[in-house]
Amino acid sequence: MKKIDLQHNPKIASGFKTPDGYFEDFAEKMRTQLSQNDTKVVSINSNRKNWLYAAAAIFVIAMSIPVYNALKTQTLNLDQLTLENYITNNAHISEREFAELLDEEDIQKIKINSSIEDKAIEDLLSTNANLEEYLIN
Amino acid sequence: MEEKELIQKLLNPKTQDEAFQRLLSDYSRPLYRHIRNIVIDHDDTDDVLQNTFIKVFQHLKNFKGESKLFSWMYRIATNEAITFINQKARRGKTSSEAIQTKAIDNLKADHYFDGNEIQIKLQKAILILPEKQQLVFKMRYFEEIKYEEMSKILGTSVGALKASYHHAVKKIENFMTRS
Repeated sequence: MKKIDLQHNPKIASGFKTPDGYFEDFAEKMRTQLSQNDTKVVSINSNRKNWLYAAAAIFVIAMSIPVYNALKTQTLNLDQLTLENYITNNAHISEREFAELLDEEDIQKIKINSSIEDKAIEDLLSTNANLEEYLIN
Repeated sequence: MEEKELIQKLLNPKTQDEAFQRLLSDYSRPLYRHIRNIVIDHDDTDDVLQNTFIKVFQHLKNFKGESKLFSWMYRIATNEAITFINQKARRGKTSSEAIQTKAIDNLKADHYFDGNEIQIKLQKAILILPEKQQLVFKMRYFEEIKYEEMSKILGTSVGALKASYHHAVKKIENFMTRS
């Protein structure tokens, strides 16, 4: 078997060839193609960029809606929880403490309510036939 | 024309046509050879070469001149060729190796191939190499690109490239001697 020696034997050519006039035709073909491509590429790119910006803006807005809702719900939940905790922890408030919390206006409101109650009592008492019996007992 | 001057002319709409003609006449032949060595078939090479020049033209304004125009264009051509094979393999639900094997099997019937058995045997031997080693071998053996230039194109050190080529030659010689 004949030993192949690529370093010292004559070089083996690739054997590839091209059609006649290929490179001349190729240069012409490239010139035409590039002049067409140049115009197209600019318009496609600029349109694509605008669409990309619009899509990006819509995406950001769409993504922000659930985030906003989640944050809003979380705040409400927190408030209710705080309120519930407050009520639970302060259930032992005494009458005296309640009274201290009332200001002048609250007292006035209570007075009005009291007078209505008084009037109702008077009416009830004046029309009640058993008044004497109640007073005795 | 100096490389910087050529780039400036390519970026200027007034001188663009003339400069692009120059770019095509300087680079279409070596880039064709480079791509053809990777994708094998002439029609596929034609597609990849067109894509390469379109990419070069589109990205020319981003070319910072850190590397030479030559190595930058070769890098684009290499990536385009490899991407082309991978896409073809994905479309055919097969591997890129199977695509290359098929391309070599079709060489005998190819109008644009005037090789004989030894050339086909060499192509088959190259296929046994890992992808990067195939590239190194083809660029050195067929295209005779200097290691320094190859290093800039492939982003690999000169030492590693020399070692890779040496191993590739040994493997190919063994394969061709045995079969």
